[in-house]
Amino acid sequence: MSPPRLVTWGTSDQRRREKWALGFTVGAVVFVASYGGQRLFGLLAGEPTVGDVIRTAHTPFFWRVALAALHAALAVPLAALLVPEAWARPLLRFGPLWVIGPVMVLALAMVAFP
Amino acid sequence: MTPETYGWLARLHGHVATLGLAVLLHPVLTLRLRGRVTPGAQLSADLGALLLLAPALLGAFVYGTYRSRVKPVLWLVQPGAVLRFETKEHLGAMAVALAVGGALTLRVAGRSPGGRETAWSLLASAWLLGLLTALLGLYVAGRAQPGW
Repeated sequence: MSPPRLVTWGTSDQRRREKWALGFTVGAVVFVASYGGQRLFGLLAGEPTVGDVIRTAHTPFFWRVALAALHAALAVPLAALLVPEAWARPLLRFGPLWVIGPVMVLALAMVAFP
Repeated sequence: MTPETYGWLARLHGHVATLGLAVLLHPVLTLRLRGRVTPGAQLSADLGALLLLAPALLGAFVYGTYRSRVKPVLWLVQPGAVLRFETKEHLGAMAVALAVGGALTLRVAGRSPGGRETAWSLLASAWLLGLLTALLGLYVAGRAQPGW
C-alpha cells in the first residue's frame, strides 16, 4: 500500500513560474497606477501647468516615469516572493479583471486631465 | 541638437513605435483565437515590447529638445496640440510598461491558462493604449508643422 500523497497542482517549476508571472503583472499594473496616481496627485496638489512647465528646470514627466519604474521594480520581487504559492494561480486566472479595469480607468483619467 | 537631427529622431521614434504596435497585434490576436502560445506569438510579444521600449527611450532623448525648442512656439499657436502631446506621453509610458510586463508574463507562464489570460490582458491593454498614443502622435505631428 502506497503512502497517501499530498494533492498539489502543477510542478514546483510551474508554481514558481506562475509566481513570477504574477510579479511581472503586478509590476506593470503598479507602474500604471503609480504614474497615473502621481499625475492626478500633481493635479490636485499643484504642479506647474503645461504652459509654465516649459520654463521650469525640472521635468515632471521624467520624474513620474522614473518613480513609477522604481515602484514597479520593487513590486515585481515583492509580489513574486511574498504572495503565497496557492494564491498565484487564482490571481492569474482573474488577471483580466484586475488588470484591464484599473488600467483603463487611469488611461481615461489621463485623457481627461492631460 | 540640430533641427534636422530632431526631425530624423522624432520620425524614427514614431515609425518604430508604429512597427512595434503592428508586431504586438500578432500575440494579442493569436492568444485570443488559438488559446495557446505558439513560438511565433512569444517571439512577436518579445519583439513588440522591445519595439515599443526602444522608441520610448528615443522619445525621452528628444523630449528635452521638444520642451525647449518646439513646445514654447507650439503652445502659442496650437495649445490644444500641446495638451494632446501630454496625453500621448502619459498613455505611451503606460503602454510600454504593460507591453514589457505582458511579454515577460507570457514568457514565464505562457503554458498555464491563467498566465496566458493575464498576459493577454496586459498585451491587449498595451496595444489599445499604444494605438491611442499613435493616433495622438499623428494628430500632434499634423498640427506641429511649418504651415504656410
